[in-house]
Amino acid sequence: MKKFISLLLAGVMLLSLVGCGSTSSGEYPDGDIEIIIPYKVGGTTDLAVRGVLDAIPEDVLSVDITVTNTVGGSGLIGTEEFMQADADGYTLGLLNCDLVLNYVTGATEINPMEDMIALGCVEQDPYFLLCTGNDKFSTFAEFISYAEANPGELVVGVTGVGTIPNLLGTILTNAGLDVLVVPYDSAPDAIAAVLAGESDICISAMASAAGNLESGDLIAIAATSSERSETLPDVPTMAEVDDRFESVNLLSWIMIAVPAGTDDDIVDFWKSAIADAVASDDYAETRESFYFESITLTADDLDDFVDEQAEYYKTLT
Amino acid sequence: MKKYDIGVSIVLILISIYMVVTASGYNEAVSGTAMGPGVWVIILCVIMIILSAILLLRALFGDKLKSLMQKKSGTSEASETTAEATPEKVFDFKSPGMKRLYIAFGVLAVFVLLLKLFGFYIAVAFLLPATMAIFGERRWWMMLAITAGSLLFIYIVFVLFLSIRLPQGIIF
Amino acid sequence: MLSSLLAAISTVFTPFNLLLTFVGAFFGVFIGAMPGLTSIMGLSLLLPLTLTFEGNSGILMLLGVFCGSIYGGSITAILIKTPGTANSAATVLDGYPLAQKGEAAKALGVSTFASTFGGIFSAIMLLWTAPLLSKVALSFTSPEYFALAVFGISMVTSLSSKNILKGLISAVIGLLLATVGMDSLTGAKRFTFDSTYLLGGIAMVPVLIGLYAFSQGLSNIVEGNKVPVKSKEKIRHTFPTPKIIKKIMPTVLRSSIIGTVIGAIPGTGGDIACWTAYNETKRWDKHPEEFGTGRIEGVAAPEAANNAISGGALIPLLTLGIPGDAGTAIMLGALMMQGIVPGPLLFTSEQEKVYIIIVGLFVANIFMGIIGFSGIRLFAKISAVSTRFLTPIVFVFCIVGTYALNSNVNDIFLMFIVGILAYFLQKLDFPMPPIVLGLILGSTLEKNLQRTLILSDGNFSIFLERPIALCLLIAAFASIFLPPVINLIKKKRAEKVDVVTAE
Repeated sequence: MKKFISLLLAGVMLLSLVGCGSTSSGEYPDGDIEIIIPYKVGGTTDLAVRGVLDAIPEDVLSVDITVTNTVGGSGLIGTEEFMQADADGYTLGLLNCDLVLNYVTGATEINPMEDMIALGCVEQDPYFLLCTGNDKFSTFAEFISYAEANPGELVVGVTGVGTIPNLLGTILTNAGLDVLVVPYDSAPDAIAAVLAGESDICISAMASAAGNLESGDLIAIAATSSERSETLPDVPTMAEVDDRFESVNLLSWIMIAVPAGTDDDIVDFWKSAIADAVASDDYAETRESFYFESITLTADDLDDFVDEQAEYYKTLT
Repeated sequence: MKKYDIGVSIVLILISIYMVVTASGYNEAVSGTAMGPGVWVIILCVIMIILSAILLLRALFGDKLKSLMQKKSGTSEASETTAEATPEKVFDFKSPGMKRLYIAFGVLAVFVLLLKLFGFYIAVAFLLPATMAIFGERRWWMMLAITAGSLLFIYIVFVLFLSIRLPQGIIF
Repeated sequence: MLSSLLAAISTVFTPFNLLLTFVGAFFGVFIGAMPGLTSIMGLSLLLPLTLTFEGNSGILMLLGVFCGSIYGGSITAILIKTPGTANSAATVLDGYPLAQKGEAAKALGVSTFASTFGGIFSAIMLLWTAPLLSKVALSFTSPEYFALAVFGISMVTSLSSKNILKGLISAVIGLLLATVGMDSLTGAKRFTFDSTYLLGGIAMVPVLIGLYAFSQGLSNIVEGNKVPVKSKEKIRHTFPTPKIIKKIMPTVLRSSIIGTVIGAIPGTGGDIACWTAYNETKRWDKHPEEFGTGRIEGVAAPEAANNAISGGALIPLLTLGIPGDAGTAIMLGALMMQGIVPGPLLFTSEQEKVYIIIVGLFVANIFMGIIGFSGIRLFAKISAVSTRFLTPIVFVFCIVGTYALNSNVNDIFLMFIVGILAYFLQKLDFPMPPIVLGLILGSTLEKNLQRTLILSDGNFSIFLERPIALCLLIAAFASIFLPPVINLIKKKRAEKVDVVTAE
């Protein structure tokens, strides 16, 4: 029996050696590539990333990409698994706004700026401030003056600590507005509370709000980006309305990344592959079905953008 | 049943006390909320301690109370709560059934080890025939057929059709 | 509304979605027909699989399982006097005597007809009442949701437990399990022991599979190998004749209404509905004494009622996000994992999804009927598979199902631990449904309480000022404290009667 086991082990080692040999000989990519998505199958992040990967043409990337969804811990479990992977270009992962925020607040040790190399941006959207347009206020300017005239009365719905929309509370309080900030589980919950009259205003990305904006139950009174949104160009940014919100630039964004230390050639390969895929018609279709805006970040700007957002988050926590 | 109720309630009370102590540390550093993250845990634990204490008291003194009640109201209701009054055996730790369960725990432990070392397929190839053997199945060809059939089914449905990667071991 | 309905129909009637609904219904009937495998087990085992499909398809498959498994239980109830699920217990009373008289085919035909009718009836009721109810629910705010969750948990606790004290302890265990992980409102890490795995909280699927499927496997091991009794009778599938249909129609209709209404009350389950329907049918009949000897109405009533539950139970689930029983609790979990948050908002923002679920329920019931009429023979054979093969296979599916969801080996270990603990807890009379409901509604409860207190500035009296919330809380307390009190009163009365008669 012992003999058998040692023979078996020897055989396995031999096989794995052969396996290694074949991967190192050819040109990259020479084997299946895995991407770890730390969010559930069928969620917007999952579908957006899959949409981009599917849009990479066969002649650019001939090997298969297997998607592993490791869910939990606000995306941290999957990201940790990704950080344990070798920096050989065969394991991809995600770098998004929530991860940077969690690093800034100290919720995770993973430093996206140093431990990862961003390859391309697949989603980049502003948030909107939404209200029912009742008699209290129907523009952002009116909201501010109402809040100032009635301190402590207005209720603002955000999402939980560790998510970007949560920062709205800090932004409003820093500007000297006395409002009651109530955290909800998700953007749809926050929207439901506005419709039920529990809160007066909430923050959400377009994807969750589209149905109610189209039906007219909700109106968007401001965008949280530094520039006006492409989908709702008539809605002013917070910065436009009041100087106190000059620096506001809350965005939702997702990037595909590899672990730091990956070979430059591999990084360049992916940067161009993803940039083409993101600009393709295929992906434009996926994007529009989720009300995502077009992506303006180019591969060269990624690092500066992430640094800039991290610095901005620091001012709010 | 009584014996176990006493055990369970004591365990639950101890766990609740531990949770209260841990949770009371959670409330610091969270501002702006009327209810800190520890408050809810403490509320639940207090409810748990009360419920467990009632269970404990009932298990300890229930019989005495019942006999007292019966003395008061005459003997007419003696058979009402037979299920609790007669000492029934909830667990017969020496029965053949429980012995099978212990073997099953052993099989699961080996399964976990195999899963860590060799991955899904080998571990399942052990678990299936081993569990059948616990039930007294001795026909090796039956065990082989079912094991092979199940593995093939899982491979086709999960790996080929749904492209789910099954757990891999350290060695494979 | 009409356009969303049409869009939903076109989504459901794609070949792939129809296939998945069919596969789900088939799997459901299969699970239901096997004694010892419950519909909840079927749902929890298939849940991870359905999550790998894109949104709507997975839900349609689950709806198929949901309907099919309730129906499947009646086959074995009639043929071998073993109800496949608790929902079919009442069917045994008249179904088995019919089979003994050599009328098994007639009984099976009627049970299939009644089940299908009940299911479709409840789907129509769902289509009609849910949008109306959602308008009312739209005005619900945090205090109301908190009260609703309390109400749901207390109803399940009081109805599923032999011993209410132990039921309450189960519920609190579930609620405490729900507190593990990162609190999403405050960001605090609770009971994570510095492990990233626990940061995301205790996942529902491993717990469900452990509670319902794995613990059942362990209990099979303790009981040892059982070869079910084989039915000797040759079965031909018979669609009931117009004469029979005419005869049972009033019963089927009444029972469908009973099933839908009882199903819509959170915390009730299929078994209550079918016993009520059976008793009502007996009461309305001219010859109540014939029940139990093989009356065809005695099969039709519980079967129509327990399938009508499916639509009824979805009413509070979709409009309020409050599950009625453990089965619908899994549906709630599945919907949330697919990114659909049940609640009044669903009817305004994602109307199409609602109609997909309702249309899917129609289709699932029709498939269930087709499978029932054509496959009875096959299922009768399946019900005779012995546990020595069934249990190991169930084990493997528990493992694959748990892992498939998040690709995390730790989930498998969690499932084992929960299953082993659940086996012992069940033996000690601790009910499982309150644990599940506690785990699922735990964060709803906590967060709505948090929000309520933020809005009221920490003042609990807000609950007294909200009539709906107050009523729900009173009802919740009543459901816990009334049954023991009623029992006590009954006992006292019985004693008095005894004393009087003795004198």
